[in-house]
Amino acid sequence: MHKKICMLGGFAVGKTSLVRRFVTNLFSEEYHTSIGVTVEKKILSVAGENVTLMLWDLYGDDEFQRIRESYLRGSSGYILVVDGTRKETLATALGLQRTVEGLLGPIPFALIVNKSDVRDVWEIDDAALSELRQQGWTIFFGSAKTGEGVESLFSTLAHRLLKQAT
Amino acid sequence: MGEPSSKNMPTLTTDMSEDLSELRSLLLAPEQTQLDRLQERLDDPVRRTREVSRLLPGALALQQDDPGLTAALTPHVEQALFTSLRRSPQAIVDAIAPIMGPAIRQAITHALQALTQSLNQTVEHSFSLKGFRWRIEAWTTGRPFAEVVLLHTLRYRVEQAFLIHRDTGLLLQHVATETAIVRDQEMVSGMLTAIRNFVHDSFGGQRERDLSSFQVGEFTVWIQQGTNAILAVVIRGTAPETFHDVLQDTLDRIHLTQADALVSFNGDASSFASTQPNLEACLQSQYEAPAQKPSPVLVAIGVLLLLGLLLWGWGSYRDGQRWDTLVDQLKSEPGLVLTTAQDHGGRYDLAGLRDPLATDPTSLIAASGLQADRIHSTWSPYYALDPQFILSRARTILQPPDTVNLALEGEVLVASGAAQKDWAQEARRIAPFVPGVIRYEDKNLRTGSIAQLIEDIERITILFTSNSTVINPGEAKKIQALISAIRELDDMAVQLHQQVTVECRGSVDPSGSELTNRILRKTRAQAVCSVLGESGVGSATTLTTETASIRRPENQATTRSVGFAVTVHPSGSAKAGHP
Repeated sequence: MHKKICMLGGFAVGKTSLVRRFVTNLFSEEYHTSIGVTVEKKILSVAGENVTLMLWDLYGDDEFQRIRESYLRGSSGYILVVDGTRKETLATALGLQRTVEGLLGPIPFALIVNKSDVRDVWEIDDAALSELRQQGWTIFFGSAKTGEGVESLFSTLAHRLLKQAT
Repeated sequence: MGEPSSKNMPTLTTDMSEDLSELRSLLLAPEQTQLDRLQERLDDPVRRTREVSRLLPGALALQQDDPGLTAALTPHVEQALFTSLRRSPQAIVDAIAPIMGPAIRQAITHALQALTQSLNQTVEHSFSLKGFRWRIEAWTTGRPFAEVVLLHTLRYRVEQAFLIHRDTGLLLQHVATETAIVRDQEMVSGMLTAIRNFVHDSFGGQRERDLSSFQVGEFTVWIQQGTNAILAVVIRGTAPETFHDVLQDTLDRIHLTQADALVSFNGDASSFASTQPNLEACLQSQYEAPAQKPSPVLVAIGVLLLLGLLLWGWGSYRDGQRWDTLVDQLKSEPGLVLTTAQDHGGRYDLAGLRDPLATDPTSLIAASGLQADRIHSTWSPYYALDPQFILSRARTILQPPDTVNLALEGEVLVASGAAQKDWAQEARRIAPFVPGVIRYEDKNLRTGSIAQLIEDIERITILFTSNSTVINPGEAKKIQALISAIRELDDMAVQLHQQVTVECRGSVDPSGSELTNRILRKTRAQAVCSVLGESGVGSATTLTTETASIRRPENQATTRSVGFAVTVHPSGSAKAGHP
């Protein structure tokens, strides 16, 4: 089973560095700045079934209207990445979520807040995240340094995708 | 209808049941018999089996499109086949041999064809200069030579084909040749889609402006667009434009056969495995056709024609050179005046004037190397006025003796040397008629007879002072005259094949002793002989001093002098007296 997943987030939220260790890379990061996307692959096993997530890592852009809609097309789910130390990245993520939902409808997604290793300097408070959770958002805390949160993020999203497919 | 009373029931029941039974047997007797027969048929397994066996083929035929039947039968068929294979493999081998044989043969033929093509190309390019370059390339890159040859003779080869879901960019099916370098085809598929989207967003907008091809080094990627799927192929080399049609046909066929699967695609590409043969059909390749080898006979004829042409060309060129050389020779040859020299394509015309004494043009033509029968020449006689011709002509006409030297000074023929008087007179008469000679001069020509010359020589006496053996300087003139006369005599003697002996005879005055006088005589004679010998008197002349055998004449003057006695005699004979 193959699924297309988009990774979205504001400028320099650490998307790429967060997942780099957990995915298969074939293409240079230069594609990010040239065509605005690189495609990576993550294979995982969900309930005894192999699931291949084709990750479309979209170049971080604070002006969401400039996201290439064509890159989002065909996605089964998406991941929003925010930087815990920069409050505005959450706002960007919210905007992105609205854009994507507007385009693709209510498909599975998850939010991961990066830089959980430096929580003491976070600008994003728990209240805001709790509010999102109450709205049904799935939220993870991740760290590019420790690798925390990434595997469970993929695993959870893959589960939801499979569940939706069946 | 009222309910029967309970009191009468037993009697009534018994009667009724008998009646009913009777009634039933009356009414249903035939059906009962049929039912009994049916019961009997159902209960008899042998009979039922026989009946089912008659119905089964028709029943299976009716259900041939039912996947349920196939599913139900498959395990049994597999099990049966498996059991049969284990129990009696030979039967299966016999059964499938007619199918497997051709299949194996076909596979081997394909493999051999590929091998032959590779071998042919390898051999063909092994010994050429190009082949040598490729060998170096194979050596430096570490690839087999055959592979390098194939790569260079390759026009195009489709090395990979990707069937990609249009919206998701997910890979539906992928095929590649054995030699293709395949990276992660799923990520390549996604990235291809991303690039296609990028190009479409950036430059397109309309379907027909989608990215349809791009070049990467020696590879070209062609992208054929479909409604729900994209077919991308990686081509090494340059494929013909008609290959687009092949791709479009393939994509159309896939859309037709996989329409539902494409629309409802949810990430499971397993149902697209059946498209593999379609994609494999796209892995086409074409190599440079080896140059058509002309037939050996044609090659031989061509070579012969070329050789003939070369020989003819060389012959023409050589004849041209020889003709030019001959014409130059004839022009520069004294006594020949060339007035016409024409080359009529291998036949030549020559015409001109020729002095009878000039070199024969025929010998020049023969020496030129040109075929004499191809040259027509006409020479008219004339007298050349070149000095050597005039002189040569004069010699031919006058026939001078060897002692006469003829020379031309301007238009004057000058004779010098010595000659008989008769010849000198005749020459004086004829010479002015020699063509080219205006005047004849012979003042330096000595004429005279041998007897006269002997007389002249013997008349000369060289005088000495008293008791001296040294020639007096006053006698020098006489000595010169003497030498001149002896030379002239020598010339004539040579001409007549005679030899001359000049004897120098010394004389003394009566005073002095006999002994002194004898010595003086001898010494004086030797002195004169010596002077004559030193000046050179000619090859036919011998000088001697007085010999004892010659007796002095009685009346000889007894003066202080040296006189001469000359004898002329034939060569090789003993000398004689005066002729």
